[in-house]
Amino acid sequence: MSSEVDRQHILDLLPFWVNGTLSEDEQDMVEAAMAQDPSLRQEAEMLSLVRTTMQQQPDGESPGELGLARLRRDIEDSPQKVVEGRSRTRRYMLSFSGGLAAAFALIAVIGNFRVSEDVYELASSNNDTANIVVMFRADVTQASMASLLQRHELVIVDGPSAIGLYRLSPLDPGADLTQLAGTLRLETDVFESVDLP
Amino acid sequence: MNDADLKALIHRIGTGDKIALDALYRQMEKPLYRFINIKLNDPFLSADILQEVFLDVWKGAAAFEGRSAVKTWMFSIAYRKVIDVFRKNARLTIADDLPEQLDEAPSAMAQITAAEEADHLRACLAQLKPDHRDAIEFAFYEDMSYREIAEVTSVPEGTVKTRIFHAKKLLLHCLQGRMNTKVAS
Repeated sequence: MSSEVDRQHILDLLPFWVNGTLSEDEQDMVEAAMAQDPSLRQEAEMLSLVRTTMQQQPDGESPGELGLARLRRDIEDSPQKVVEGRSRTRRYMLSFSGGLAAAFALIAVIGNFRVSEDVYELASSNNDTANIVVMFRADVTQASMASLLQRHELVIVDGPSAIGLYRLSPLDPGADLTQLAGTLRLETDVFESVDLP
Repeated sequence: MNDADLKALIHRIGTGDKIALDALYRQMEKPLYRFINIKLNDPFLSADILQEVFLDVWKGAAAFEGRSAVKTWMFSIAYRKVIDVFRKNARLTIADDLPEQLDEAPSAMAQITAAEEADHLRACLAQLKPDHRDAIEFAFYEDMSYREIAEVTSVPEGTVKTRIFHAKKLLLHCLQGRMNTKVAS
């Protein structure tokens, strides 16, 4: 190195050489300095070890799809700062069918029913018709839920309702919902129920 | 997904596109959550903060001018929220006054066995000043450039380099102490 100042400059850049974020010029400068000064190379190796060790630490389980479902529910009550020409969010009541209707009636009978959107109304997506209403099994893992949703290109657009219902919507607006619902019904390890509104 | 892709998502989110928000969430949720949880060490609070970050993005997307990278913008939001938590809880930090005289010999790290590395490193990171720890975590957990770290933490680039320089020295000092290793100066 030509001076201590230059060496200090290289030492400052070394962590960013290790994480690969330097510009091409800076990278060339650091590599030229390391070629002349083995202690800089050693320093880089040490920093690389620290970085590797840090990145190998477990991440902890993030909220995943459940967090996304919560987010989708919360944004219904969080207006955007600049909204021009956006369709107004509408809310609608889910229509229930088959076993779900029966389950709902049972809830009414045992006294938990009240005519309130908090109980059985889910906030809608912009496309009310492109939805499948499901209930996940109690023992389903977040990982298997996420995997299934991604495999079928589905997103949770609403839920959970008070009785644990979620509404799923396909990313492809042209998807055949009836066929998709049929496919999902075969996923008995994941879903307790699958219904079309 | 590169920054141009992320900016396209933000633009769509700004028009109320929820599918774009889903895509952004799936792209950024894990790194943001990791960053927040490393700081707070509280999974439930971290999930709440993560939620707030995405709500801020949802509400502010239309006003995002794209002058910074999306990743930088989102980490800035998360960083400010974490700082707020620390301020509200008045969390104490320790060991900003470790002696500065130390050698930078890499042999200290080399002597740490693989099984012990993570524990020692975690313990030593916990002893750093928040500013120093933030800088080195952004550099090594998130692989951010010094320019990005400067933007996220709102300090000059030179300050970022100085913080990482000191963080590195203090980390080594701590690791040497924990391993009871004498390193020649």
